[in-house]
Amino acid sequence: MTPQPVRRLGAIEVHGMTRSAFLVRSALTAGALYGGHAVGPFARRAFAQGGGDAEILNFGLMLQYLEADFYRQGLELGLTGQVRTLATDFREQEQDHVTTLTEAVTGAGGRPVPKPRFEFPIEDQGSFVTLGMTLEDTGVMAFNGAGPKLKSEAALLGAGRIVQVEARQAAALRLAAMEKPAPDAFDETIEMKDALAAAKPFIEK
Amino acid sequence: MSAADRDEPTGDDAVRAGAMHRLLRDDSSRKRFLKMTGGTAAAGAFAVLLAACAGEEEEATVGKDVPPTGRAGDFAILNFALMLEYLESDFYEKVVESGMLSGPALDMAKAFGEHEREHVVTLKTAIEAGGEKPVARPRTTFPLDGQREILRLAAQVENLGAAAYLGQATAIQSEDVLVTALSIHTVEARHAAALNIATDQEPVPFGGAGLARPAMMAAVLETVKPFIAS
Repeated sequence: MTPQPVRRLGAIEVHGMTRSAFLVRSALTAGALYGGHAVGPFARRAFAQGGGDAEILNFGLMLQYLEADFYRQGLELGLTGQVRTLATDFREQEQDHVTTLTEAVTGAGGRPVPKPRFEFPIEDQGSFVTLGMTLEDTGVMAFNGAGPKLKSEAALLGAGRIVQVEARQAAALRLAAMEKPAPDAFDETIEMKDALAAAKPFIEK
Repeated sequence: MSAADRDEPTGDDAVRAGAMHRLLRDDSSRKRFLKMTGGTAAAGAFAVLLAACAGEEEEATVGKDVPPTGRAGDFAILNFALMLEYLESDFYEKVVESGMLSGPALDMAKAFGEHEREHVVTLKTAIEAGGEKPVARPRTTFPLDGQREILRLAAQVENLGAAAYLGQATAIQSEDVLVTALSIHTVEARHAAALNIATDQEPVPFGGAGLARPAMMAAVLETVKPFIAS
């Protein structure tokens, strides 16, 4: 059920890499292995404008586009039972995040990044749950890493309201995958560039 | 989660998104919001509660009518968080001792209790490292009445905890404190989601919306009062 690249990467000891960076990379497909700095054209576009809060909020927007599309594509696989219910609810919630962040980018004086096309290595309920759990865990770490850099209190509150939902989604998918819902007492953080590098394999050329 | 419900300042999605937009642009509404999140009433309520649970020899960092800001405000928030973590940690300890849980529910209570203990240690250490005085561990009392009711109470406590951290996020000044608070916040959220599922509630219980609701300090303190033994 677990996609092979995920399982393989999870067993590799990577020298000199922080646990959280490793988690992100182990989470994703082999494409993520080529390093934290391999940021594609889309990511550069997201960073080319604005600066400050708008840049961070656009980063969040990109992750939410990715998650919303992940649930949309997952539902096309014909998910069943509790997992189908979760995916249906979570897709709506991610859409809510997209709307909120789009407005926030504009409010911060930036231009919302356009939605890219995504492709995910999911083929059944098992691979959907495993990748979903990983994407949400990564989303939590990314928002927790970027949130404190926001200057506007309103933007910070918005990010906080979103990241709490990401954490809840992560916990639910972890339970669906028979994993611990909260693996540690503290959620770790990752840098934006590492999160973008991790997302890159899912963005269609 | 009636406390969070009361604190929810807006209604539907469009209003919420609009409110955030407005907050981003409008300095006065931002200040108004900040006043709501860390205002006088909350600080006053906190002082009363601290006095109640700490005894007469203990004086905590919050105790004036005017809420502290900056460094003092951060330590007040850390002490508020420490008090909540003491409650949660005590709760799980008593739950495990009660012998009323078994199987996966017992495993979950043990694991979550260990997380809360780690939160206590981290927050207490941070407060002491700053040369400030941590709040005393309150004496707690919880109605433990079988596995089902215990899990429901646990869900209530964790949902409140998550909302409480979210309610303080914008009042925190130090980036280090904020990073720590956020990394605890999402763990409380994970606990809450797992316990919601264990009690047949939705893991994301915000009426289908994707935005969590913050709870203000005064409302949180009011909600946990019954759990503080007098």
